[in-house]
This record gives sequence, C-alpha cells and structure tokens, in this order.
Amino acid sequence: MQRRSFLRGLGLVAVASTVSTPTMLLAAPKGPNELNIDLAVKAITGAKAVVKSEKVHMKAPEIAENGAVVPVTVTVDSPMTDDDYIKAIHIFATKNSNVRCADVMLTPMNGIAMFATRVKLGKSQEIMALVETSKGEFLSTSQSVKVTIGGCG
Amino acid sequence: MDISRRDFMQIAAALGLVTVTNGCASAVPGKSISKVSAKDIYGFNATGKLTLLHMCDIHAHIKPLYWREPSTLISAPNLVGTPGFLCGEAFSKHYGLEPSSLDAYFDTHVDFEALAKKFGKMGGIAHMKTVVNTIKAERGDENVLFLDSGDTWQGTGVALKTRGEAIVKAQNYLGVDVMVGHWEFTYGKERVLELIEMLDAKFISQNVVGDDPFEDEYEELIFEPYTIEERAGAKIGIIGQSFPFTSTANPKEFTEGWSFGLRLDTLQEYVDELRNEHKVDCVVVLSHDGFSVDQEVAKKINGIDFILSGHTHDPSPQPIIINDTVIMIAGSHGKFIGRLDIDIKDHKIKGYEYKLIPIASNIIPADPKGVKLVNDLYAPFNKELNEVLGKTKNTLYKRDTFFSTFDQLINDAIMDEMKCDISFTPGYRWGTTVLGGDNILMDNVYEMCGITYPNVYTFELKGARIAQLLEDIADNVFNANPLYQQGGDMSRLGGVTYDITVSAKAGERITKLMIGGKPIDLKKTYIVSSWGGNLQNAGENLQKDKIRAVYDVTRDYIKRQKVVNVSNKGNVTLLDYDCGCPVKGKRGHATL
Amino acid sequence: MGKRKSLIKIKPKKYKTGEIVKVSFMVMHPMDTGMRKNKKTGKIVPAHYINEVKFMFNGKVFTTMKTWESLSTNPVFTVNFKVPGKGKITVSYTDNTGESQEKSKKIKPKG
Repeated sequence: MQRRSFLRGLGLVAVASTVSTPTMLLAAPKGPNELNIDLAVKAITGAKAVVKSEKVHMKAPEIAENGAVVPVTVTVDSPMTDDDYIKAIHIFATKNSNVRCADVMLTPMNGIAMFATRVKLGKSQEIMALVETSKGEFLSTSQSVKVTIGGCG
Repeated sequence: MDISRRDFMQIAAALGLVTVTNGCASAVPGKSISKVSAKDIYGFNATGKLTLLHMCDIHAHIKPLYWREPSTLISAPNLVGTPGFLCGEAFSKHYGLEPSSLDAYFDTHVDFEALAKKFGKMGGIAHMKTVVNTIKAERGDENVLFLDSGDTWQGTGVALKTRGEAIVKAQNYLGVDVMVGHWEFTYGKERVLELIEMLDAKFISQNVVGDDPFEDEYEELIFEPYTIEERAGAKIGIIGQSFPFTSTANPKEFTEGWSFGLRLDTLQEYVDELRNEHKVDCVVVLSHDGFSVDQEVAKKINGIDFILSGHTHDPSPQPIIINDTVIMIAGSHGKFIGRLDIDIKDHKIKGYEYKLIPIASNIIPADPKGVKLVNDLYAPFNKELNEVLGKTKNTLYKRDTFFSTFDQLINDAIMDEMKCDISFTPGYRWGTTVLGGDNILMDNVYEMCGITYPNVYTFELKGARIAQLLEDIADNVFNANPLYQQGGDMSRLGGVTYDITVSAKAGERITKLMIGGKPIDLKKTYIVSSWGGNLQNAGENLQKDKIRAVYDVTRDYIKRQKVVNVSNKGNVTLLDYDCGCPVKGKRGHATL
Repeated sequence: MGKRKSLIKIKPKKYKTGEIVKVSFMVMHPMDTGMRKNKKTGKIVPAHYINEVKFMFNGKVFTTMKTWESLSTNPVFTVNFKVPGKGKITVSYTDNTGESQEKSKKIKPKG
C-alpha cells in the first residue's frame, strides 16, 4: 500500500517533468527537474480535490534568515492509528524551478504526523504542504516566506 | 527650570526663522505655555507596589545629546495613523501634545531647532540615574525592576572603541536587571558572551537557537528564554525576545550558528509555562521586535500582560492595548525612561499606571557618580572624539523614511571620494543630531556610523539589479503586514531620485528611477558604493583598493569642506501621501 | 567519495517505551541544484542531491522519503517515532549519482 502510492507518485512526476510552461521558461534558470506547482500537485493527487485544512500546521519563518537554509516543519493532526493515519506529507517551494522538496511517506509507527527539514528558496514565495490521509483525502496549507538580500538594521 | 512667558516669546520669535521641515504644515504655538520643572517630570499617579522601569535603544548614548524625531514616517495605507507610524503633527494630534511643550520637543521634530535652544540636550546616564534613584527612593529598591529592550551596547565611538564594555559598565551603574539584544550581536558571538559575563543584568531570549545541525546546541536555546523575578511580593515572569531579523539586517557572520526569528509558537509555550507551571502573577515580554510587530504578536499570543517593546524607536506617551496585552515603547537614545506601576493583589493585576519620563538633562540634575563614570569612560578617547572636523550650516539629523541630512552628508562624502554613480547608506534609525551652526565632532561621526563592519565597498551592479534591490528594500519597509517588515527605513541613496507609490504591489512601487539625472538604464552597469549592508555580495568587480571605513571617509570629507551645507530637500517623491506625517485616509503627493 | 559525515539525533535524550521521540538525520551533502556555476571555472556544477531517504527500526522501514535538490545543503530530515522498545534505528540515503550510505543509533528506552 505504502509502496504503491509512492511509486505512483514517481511515475507521474517523471512524465510531468518533461512538460514545461512558457511562464516557467521566462523565469529563473531551469534545473534538471524543473516542474511547476500545478503539475507537481496533479502528479500526486490525480484529479482529486485538495482542501485547505486547519489540521495541517506549517512552521516556517516569515522572513528567511538565509534563503539557502529555510527551516520548515509540517505537523498534521492525526491519531496515527492503523485505520486512520497520515500517509504522506509533500513539501513544495512553489516558485523554485523544481517546486518539489520532499515526498515523505509516513506510517502509524511515527506516532505523530510530522516532518521537518530545511529548504532552499530562490526568491520570496509560498511554501506549500500537501498531505494525503489514509482515507485518500488531500489536505493542504501554505505560508509565505520572504527572501531578502538584507535589511536596514 | 520653569519656562516663563518671556522664554516663550523668544521661542516664538525664533520660530519665524526656522527652516520649513518636510513634515506637514508647521504647528502654531498654543495659547498656554507649559511650565516644566523636575517635579512635573517625575509627577506620577503611583499605584500598587511594583514598578517596572523600561529603556530601549539607547544606542550607547551615555552622554546627553540632541535627537530630533522623524519628520517623515511612511507606512502601508492600512497602518497610516496607527501608533508606530505617527510623527510630527499627526503624532501631536494623536496624543494631544501641547505645541512647543517639553513633550512636543521630545516626541516630534516640530520646531526642533528653536526648542533645542530652549530645552537643551536629552538623555545621558547620569540624568537617567537620578530618575531611577528618585523612583527607587519613592517605591523601595526591592519593588523596582529595570528592564532594557536592547540596542544598548552599540552606537557611539566609546562603545565601538571598547567593543561594548563601556556601555555594560553604564548598565551596571544604572542598575539594569534584565535585557535582550540586537545590535549587541554585531560585536560577534564570542564578544557577546564575554560582555554578558561582565553584565550584572540577565540576558534572556526565547528566540535565539543553535542552527548548526552538527552542534549539540542545534535547535537548543542559546540564552535562558525567561526569568522569574520576585518584587513587591509578586512573581513576575519576563520572557526575552531579541531582534527576530538580526541575521538578515546585520551581517550573518557575527551570529554564524545561531538562528533568530519571531518564534511565536515557543513564545506561546513559555507564556503558558510561566502561568501554569510557575504560577507567576504577571507575564512580561521584554522585546526588540519593534512596536508594530509587537502589536501583531499581541494579537496572536494569548496571556501576555505587558510587552515592553523596542527597536522602532517610537516614543509612545500612552500604551496601546491589544487582546488584553498592554504594549509600551520608550523612544530611543536615552531620551526616556518608561515607568510602569502595577497593582497586583491576590495574584491578579488590578490596575496599572504608565508614564514615559523625558530625560531633560537641563532640568533633571546629573548624578555626580554618573558624571564621573562617563568622564572616565571617555578619557582614553577624548583626543580623537572631541576633534572638531568642521561646522554645519543646517541641522544634521538622522531618521525619516527616505532622506535625512546627516545621511546625505555621508553619501556626499562617499560619492566625492569613491567617484561612484550611486551611494547606498543604511536606513537604520540610530544616530545623532547636530544643530545648524554647531561644530561637527569626530564623536558625532561615530554616533552616525560607528559600526563593527564600517567598510565602504565600491563595485558594479546592473541597472536591473539596482531597480530590483530598491523594490526589495521598499517591501521590507512598506509591507502591509508588520510581520514581514524589518523595522527600519529606506536605504538612503546618493546620486538617485525616484518616485514611490507606497500602496502599490510589492515590486511595483518605484517609478521614474533616475541615476545622475538620467532615467535608469536597466542594461547598463553602474558603479555603486555601499556600506552597512551586504549589497557588495550582489555586485561584481569589487574595487578592493578603495575599501575604507565610512567614518574615515566622512571625517576626511567634512575636514575638506570645513563648513558643510546640506539642504533638507529630499530625493524621493511620494505619490500617494501629501506629507511626511500623514493621517489616516489622507492622500496626495509630496517630495521628501 | 568517502564516507560523508552524518548524525542521528534523538530528542528528548531520555525516553520510555511507548513515548514518541523526534528522530533527526543530518548529513554533509552538497545538494547541488544543477543551476549553480562554479565561480572559478564558470561551468555549471552538475546536479548532485539526495533523492531517497529511509528510516528503519530493527530493519523495518517506518518512513521513506523521495527528496529533491530544493532541500538545503547539508540537509536535515526529522520525523517522529513511537518507541516500541529496545533496538536500533538506521537511516539510509541514496543520491542521484548512485551514492548510498547509512547510519545507525541504538534505542535504549529507560523503563
């Protein structure tokens, strides 16, 4: 079960990454895995609806201390039991050339549905968390992070 | 010292000669005259047993100084006219200040030169100490707690030359009990820890944690997050909040391995911990977030009784109350001490009284021990610091959103020496004021730019990058959400003029950007000089042979000029407000 | 490439069976995006990033990750883990060049 959904995600992503939209071509330099947010989300959800949910909590700085190291923590309210748990937390940097940061497949063994990491942000943007529950629902939240060369003291 | 009617007439006469400043229309002196004495300054409707004394952002000014408040304080439209974004006439009106009163002199720029001649200098630790002693004598030593919101160790020559030590001695003399920091960190981590060893006060911060994953202190607190102090039979929990954007506003290398940020989630946890586990009677956040950011903090965090704020230098005569949290901020440069009396009965806060006490150094006598301490601390440096570099024709001041005369002088000095197209000077809010006709001392130059990373860098930047950088800086200043602001002003630019629409979208605020009198060419490469920031990292072809400390560049320029004559005409046209001190709903057009 | 410096941290340091701890894996890895130029040569530094991470307890996988170049240099991966008893946590990773390493840490609940 776990593994299947993981592979499904990968397959779609591989196809999607060959597609690029004109707006992305005008943007910052392309990386080898360039993919925009719409395609990246679709690759995971198929056509299923994504619901913004207060069950998904994101902790990230309002202003990044360093755009190359931006700490992000996503926590989801869930009992994490065998019948009701969070299967996956996906993190996207919505304006990076490749928006995908991490696809994290959890199990009830985690106890709490949480993933923390540090991402690179090329510029000011929203970080988005997309969550898949064991019931097949997709929930999300996002937060805006400002990346600035420096302030005024 | 009473201000008599005759004095008033003299001030009024002087008013006619005052240069028009770039605020709104000049205020007309009122009919009545404030009669000010030391007694009035101390006058206080005491309540309860506990007193908290508060200072913030003294920026190492242990001697009295002149400090002119801003004549321009522009914000996003939703924030216009709110505390934190009030100046000049708008400020006077909001707080009901009497024109030409001592309060008007301390709190606004209006008729500053004339009132400066009348009321004299402000601040100074020897005068502050007299206030502290008087209050402690009235309330009892054991019932008073002295809190310092930071930006204390840095900002003058004596601070720079002793790497902060002179100011720690001043704090120990004043009897500061607890502090947080911001510019303190620009002495570097190791020095900060050394100075904390010398400091009698506790240094606390819940929002500074280790960020090197391979260190033991990764995601662990660097300082105690809070302290619990017992005074007047009550338990007071004080949580520290250092400047959240230290590592972006100042060079990262000073705090390598430490991470800052607002950290609201842990702030709420500590508030709850103090209330539920330690059963404190009162929760205080000692903060360097800035006045507007702390208003957002109060909306988001429950259970804080008082926030003693700092960073944005607002003199706020009255506290503001948001979500049952009372927020106060005590100006800057040692001009004020905030006195907060709290009445606590049966572990509950029954009431409070607050006053921002102006440290009018001609009215409040100096404590002789403080005078001696200041003399001793200055003695090794007097020769250099007291050197007269030249004279200024017009008043040199810092502050204002886009432009101020002392910054312009620094930009003139840099452009003269570096032969650059554009000069960037940082928009921090500390400095000094030198009255028109007065000598400029080397001490004044350090008061403006005595930082631990003083180098002026000269390098190349493409026009497009310059335009983008200006938009980026504008968004730090004018973002409609205070949580995305950094609490400073726009970088001051030499060689550049522009129009700005503050209410426009991020990235679209600046228009008619001109360099050297010509429209900016986005493809052209310009020679840029900059200091006090990290723009050089964005540039190319750094001219290494030209790197020199900004205070040396400025000193040499003033010496060459002998008499400096900086006009108060700004280089920025504001398209959506009619003056520098707008009130809510007012729109127009102004050159600042 | 020799062995990269890596670390597993468990927080809190003391825990009991049945309690939930935080497990962090940190590794010194460039996480090159394939977009950065080498300042000296002017040539693009090829993409080099961790693309898979597995967290195991006594050989049983409890978290897997597919990761990308948007993670920071020297990345950190933190998840929770409900301690079932004594044992060993192992974290392994693979990067896009095929490099693969692992790190282990003993789990010793007190009570």
